Amino acid sequence: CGFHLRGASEFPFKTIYVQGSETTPLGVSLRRNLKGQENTALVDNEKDADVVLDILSERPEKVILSLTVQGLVREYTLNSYLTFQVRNSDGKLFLPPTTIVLHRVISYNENVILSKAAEEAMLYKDMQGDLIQQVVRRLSVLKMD
Amino acid sequence: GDIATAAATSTDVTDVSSAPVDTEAVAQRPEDSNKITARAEQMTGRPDRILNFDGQVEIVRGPSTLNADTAEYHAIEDLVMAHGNVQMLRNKDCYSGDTFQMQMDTGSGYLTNPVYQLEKNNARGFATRMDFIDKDQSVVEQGVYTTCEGTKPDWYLRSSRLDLDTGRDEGVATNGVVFFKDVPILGSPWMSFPISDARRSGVLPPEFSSTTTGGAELTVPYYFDIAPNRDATIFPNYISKRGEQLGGEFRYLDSTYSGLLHAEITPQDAADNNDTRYSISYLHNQTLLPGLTMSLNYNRASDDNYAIDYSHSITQSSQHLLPQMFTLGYGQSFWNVGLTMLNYQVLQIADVPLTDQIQKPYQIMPQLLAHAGKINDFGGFDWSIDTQYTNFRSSTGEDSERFVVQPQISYPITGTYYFITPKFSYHLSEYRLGETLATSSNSSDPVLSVPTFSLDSGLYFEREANLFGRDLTQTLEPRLFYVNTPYRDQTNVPIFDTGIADINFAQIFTENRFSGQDRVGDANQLTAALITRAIEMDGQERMRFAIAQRLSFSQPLVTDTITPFYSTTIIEGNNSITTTHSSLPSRSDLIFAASGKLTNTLTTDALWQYSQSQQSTAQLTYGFKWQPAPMQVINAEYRFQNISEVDPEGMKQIDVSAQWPLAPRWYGVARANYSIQDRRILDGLIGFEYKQDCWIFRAVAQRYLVPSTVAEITSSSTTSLFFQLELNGLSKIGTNPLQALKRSIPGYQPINQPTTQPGYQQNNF
Amino acid sequence: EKADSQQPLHISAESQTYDGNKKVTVYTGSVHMVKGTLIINAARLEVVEDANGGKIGTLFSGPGKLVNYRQKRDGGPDLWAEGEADKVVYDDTLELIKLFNQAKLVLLDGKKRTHESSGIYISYDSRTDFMSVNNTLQGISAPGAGFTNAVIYPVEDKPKAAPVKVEPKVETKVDSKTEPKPATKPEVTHE
Repeated sequence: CGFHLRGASEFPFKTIYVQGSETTPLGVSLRRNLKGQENTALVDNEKDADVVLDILSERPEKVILSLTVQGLVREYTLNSYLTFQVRNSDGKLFLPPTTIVLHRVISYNENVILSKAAEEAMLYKDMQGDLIQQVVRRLSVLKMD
Repeated sequence: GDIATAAATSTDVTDVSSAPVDTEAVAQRPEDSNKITARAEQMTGRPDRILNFDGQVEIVRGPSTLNADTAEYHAIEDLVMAHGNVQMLRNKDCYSGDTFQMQMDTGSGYLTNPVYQLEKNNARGFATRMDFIDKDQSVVEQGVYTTCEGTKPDWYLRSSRLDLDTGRDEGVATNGVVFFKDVPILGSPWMSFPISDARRSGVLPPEFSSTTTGGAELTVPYYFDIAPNRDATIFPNYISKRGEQLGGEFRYLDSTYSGLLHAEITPQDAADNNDTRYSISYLHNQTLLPGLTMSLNYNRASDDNYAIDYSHSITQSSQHLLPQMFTLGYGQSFWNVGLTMLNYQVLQIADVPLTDQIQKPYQIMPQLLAHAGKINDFGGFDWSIDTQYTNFRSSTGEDSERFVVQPQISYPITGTYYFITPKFSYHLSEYRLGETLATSSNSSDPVLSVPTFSLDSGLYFEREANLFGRDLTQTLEPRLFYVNTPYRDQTNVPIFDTGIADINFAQIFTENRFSGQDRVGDANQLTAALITRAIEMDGQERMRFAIAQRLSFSQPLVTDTITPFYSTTIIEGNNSITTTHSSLPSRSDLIFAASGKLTNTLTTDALWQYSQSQQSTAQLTYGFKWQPAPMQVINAEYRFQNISEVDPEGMKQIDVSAQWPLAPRWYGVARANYSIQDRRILDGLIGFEYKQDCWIFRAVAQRYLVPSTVAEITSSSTTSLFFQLELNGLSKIGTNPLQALKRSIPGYQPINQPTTQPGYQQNNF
Repeated sequence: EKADSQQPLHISAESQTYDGNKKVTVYTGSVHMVKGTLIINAARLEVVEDANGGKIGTLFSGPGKLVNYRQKRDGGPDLWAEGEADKVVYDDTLELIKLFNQAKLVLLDGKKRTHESSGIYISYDSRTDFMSVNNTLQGISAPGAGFTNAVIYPVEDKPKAAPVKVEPKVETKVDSKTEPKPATKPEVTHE
């Protein structure tokens, strides 16, 4: 039915510089992922990079999803917002500012709040991996004309 | 006076070809930029002194164009004077009046009985006189300011003096009175307003709302724009049932630190025998040194019912555990260490039976953790070691210590279309229990040491496909994940920070079904999953379907309860039926999930988890969001959670919300989160927005359940009303319901903001 | 400039005729009229003497070449006025110049233009530096009869109400007192 094993996804550029979120977990693992790409080098200054990935904003959010009949919170929705753009070092935009929004639902109960904190961290980490996958995929089909 | 329209006719200034002097010799000089081009029926005078223009005069200089019956140009002072239906267009702001004078260089001058129309917010008005201070600032005397079209504006601000600053987008009115439909609704000796929503100090328009717990409330906030990176808001508040309250919020932001302090105090709460009631919330984050970060999150309320009595929103009223946390962290490339101190202030629900009360979580005083880990180290291994020391202090003040070491090592074999990752991890924890815990778990220092092996593998297939009428790349990602963790009796290990994690696509590919460090779930389990994604040409993930089958080859035995079963009671009519359930996890689960855009306007999310071994649906949620056009959205979602030991009542809810135009200029907003099993609306909202070209009126009523402060009644509902009159370009009067609307109605868009594409929501599992 | 008043009026042209009874002298063929710093070139010139001997010259443009005019102005070391038009009338006694049809007048400070006017009629009195630009040939503006135009270059460094600063002397090629050569085509050099 037409499926074939995925070929090597090559970036249409040789060097990339990531600007923004230098110390956040997402920034660190995104840079580690890009460093792992064979045919593209992660450089550490904007000048000699064919492509500059600007991480404009990264925002977690926790919103009440549903209540119990006693008026206590039963579920939260955890959102991860990532806004980024791709340009070259003299400002020509390849990809205008784009926002990816992911969300996960987490149940909540006051009596297990300490374990919920650990679970929340796990879900945010999972969304972070998903966000990085999507950014890498956008970079691999980037139109550079 | 009639509001002038900005009809600056475009005149083609005849080309003044040069005199016999050959033009090449005269290069384009810098001062040509402020040269003055004039046109008139007659010009007389001495060019180096005073030139008079008469008859349909038009003078153009830089961005300004002046039309008048007659005009004079004083060359020495570079000054223009004009008389007789003067009209001046500067950038896109248009002024007309009788007599006009302006020093062209600095832009200072005046215009008598001006009628003005500014580009920003379509602001306009008329006055007796207007003084231009410079290119951006002007002072309007005895003037009227509005943003409404036409000669009979719905609202206008009349003030003795109005300082307009289009450069800094600020307007300051002295002795201003706002008339709405010719009825004065707001007066203030001094009022600043945004020509656009930039920050400026000043009295903010009053806010009034009403809640069942507090009655009618009136707040007149004052905003201090202290510095570009510091501002504060003071809001004196009068609550009819409770008396005066003073609130304040101070925000600061710097390169290495930022923070927010919010405090409110009611010296004498009339509804609570005149007690003093307060709440404080202080957030502070700081990078002390590169890599060394500190954060403080301290919240405190004066008493248990504060959240309910003083809540304006559900986020406040449902907050019954106030975190008081301090963290310190230092990290380098492959290791980091951290210190955490954490306590929760419990806002207990009023005298409900002990079993329903909120138990105070253990205080973490302190927790030290260290993490070190490298990937692709010595020949392709990924390894990491997490060590953690925690001192748990019970509500009785008894300390118990826990020391945990978790080394893990894996060897990821990855290619472009496959990955195989074997992983060994080990959990070693030792406890020094406090006296009461030691007796109840009949061992004072239990030890838990459990190895875990997991093998994760997957393939990536792709094909070009035409789905949903578009050319897409469809992926097919089979994945196999095997976990083997031997059983270890953990009944003598008390529970400090552990619970069963929700089952979802993130959790089913983790080794431990518990989150926290006190339980390592035994497992001999295989999870087979198949994910298919539809990816647009630009790389955007449009749709995602996934199905996973989890199979335990042996019944998992580790639970986080003392007894391996739990009981639930259901009230049927007047008798209640109690049933007991095993708290052992199900042996096999089928999970299906879908999320993404079916069409450009219809997105859907669905998750279904069916336990084959218990022949029951554990959880089922499905919903859709239909957003055919900006400011038009309908969301509907069904959510079912089966009873579980953490959630003995289970949940069966329908959540419907919408923002929909009801009639020209009328927009309806509504939400109902209805609990089927309780046959009650847990969280409801209804309201409308009426939009005119220069003002919007919003009325929103919100009703949500809050824990009862009265015994026996499980919960009472709080209704809060929001009224708001937003005068475009002037200010918002009344409480701002936008926060509540955005929270209750996913996809809600304020009706006066430029309409942007609805946010692209996706991937809910 | 005022100094031109005492200067003699020289006229040179290819040919010259005199009509006794009309008391009109007609010069044709690259006419070149000079009075002090005032220079006017045209294709044809008719000079008439009024009752008390004052001369009035009317200069006409030839095919493809407008009458052009140039004169030094008072109030500064290097201020000039230059103009062109289809027809120019110069009144010697009043020292008033009138430009008709496609009239343009440019005032210069050295090389920099400070003012340009154009319209159907321009009159300029060099002694008082007074100019009038009108939208009818009669020199009186009539409402709706068309527009006159001007471009003014406010000089940045001109101090506001202070007197005009003396510009540093720039050696100009043209000696202000050019002696006309009799009857041969004059070499008029312009910067």
